[in-house]
Amino acid sequence: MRRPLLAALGLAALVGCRPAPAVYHLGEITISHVVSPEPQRGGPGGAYFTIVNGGPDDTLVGVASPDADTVMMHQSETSGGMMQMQMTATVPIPAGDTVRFAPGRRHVMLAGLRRTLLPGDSLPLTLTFRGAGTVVVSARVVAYADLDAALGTGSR
Amino acid sequence: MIRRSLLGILVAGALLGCARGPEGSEFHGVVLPVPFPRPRVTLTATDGRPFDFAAATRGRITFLFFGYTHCPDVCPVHMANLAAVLKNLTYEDRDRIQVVFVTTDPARDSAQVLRRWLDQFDPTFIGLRGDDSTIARFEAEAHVAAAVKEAPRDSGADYTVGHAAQVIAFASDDSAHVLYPFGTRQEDWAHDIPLLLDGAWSGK
Repeated sequence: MRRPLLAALGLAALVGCRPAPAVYHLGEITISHVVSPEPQRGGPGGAYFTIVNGGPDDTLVGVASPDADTVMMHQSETSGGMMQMQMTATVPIPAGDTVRFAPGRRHVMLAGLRRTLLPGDSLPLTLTFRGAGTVVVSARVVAYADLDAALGTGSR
Repeated sequence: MIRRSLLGILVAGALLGCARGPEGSEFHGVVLPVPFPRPRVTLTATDGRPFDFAAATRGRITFLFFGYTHCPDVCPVHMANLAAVLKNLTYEDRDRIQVVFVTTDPARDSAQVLRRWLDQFDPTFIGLRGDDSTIARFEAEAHVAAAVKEAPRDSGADYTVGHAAQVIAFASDDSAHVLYPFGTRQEDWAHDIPLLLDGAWSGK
């Protein structure tokens, strides 16, 4: 009788140790899977997230961070087996759509990092939408080998 | 002409990849309908020595990738995923596999830059560089489109380098049999590497 209860408590404690993935709400926009890959030696930082728009058409007009000099949004495209990258000033977030920033698709680049980012650290990002306004989110820094897992199904 | 039909096969293969490989294939990667031999091109390794790809990798499972160290995410994700899976192999199996990274940006990727970048993933990964024309010949023999250097639209930013996004797997018969497009996950690598080691590409 005693033992199952202890086991249940132990299980609850284990489950409790895992932080729930952060989800941010801004009006009818939801932002999740906010992840930053550990920067490569001397290289720029990066960030990925998933935006779900339950409201009217909107546009992501900018991303900023107090930890970087310059923050840009990039889009990768594959054609004929070749991958190319382009800078995009804004990203449309259509009504009812899910827009994923994920490797090989879109990413945020943070040039001129002002501090060292290591796995487990948090990186604050400010996302500004034309309609919905501004929200501050926190990206979890992970090693590249853990990126697919951290992004969940969103990386495909 | 030959080049174009091979490119067609690669594109077709990439399309098939979305449907989990050709019908009947055990592989999660894209099995090439027409295997091709290891490129017979000599580049320079990060230790400064000449590296004759066909001779130096003969008989071993070889994963070949073209990329560059300023690559935003495709290159480090591919290399990190491959490294994470290779760490779980036995010494004997790991010893039968080589990973070769050819830079498509030799101007910025000095031997030292390339070595340091690869060491973040696995110090046994081989880094190769050379002049543009030799790299282009290597790409042609590996049946990938040549890398394109693209100036940024906004001045002041670094240029980016287009590159083939797939890892090419050469088997112990010294032919390429399977391609791994970007999006290949660690579980896909973990599934396919034992098949490559067992020679499953021969259709047994």
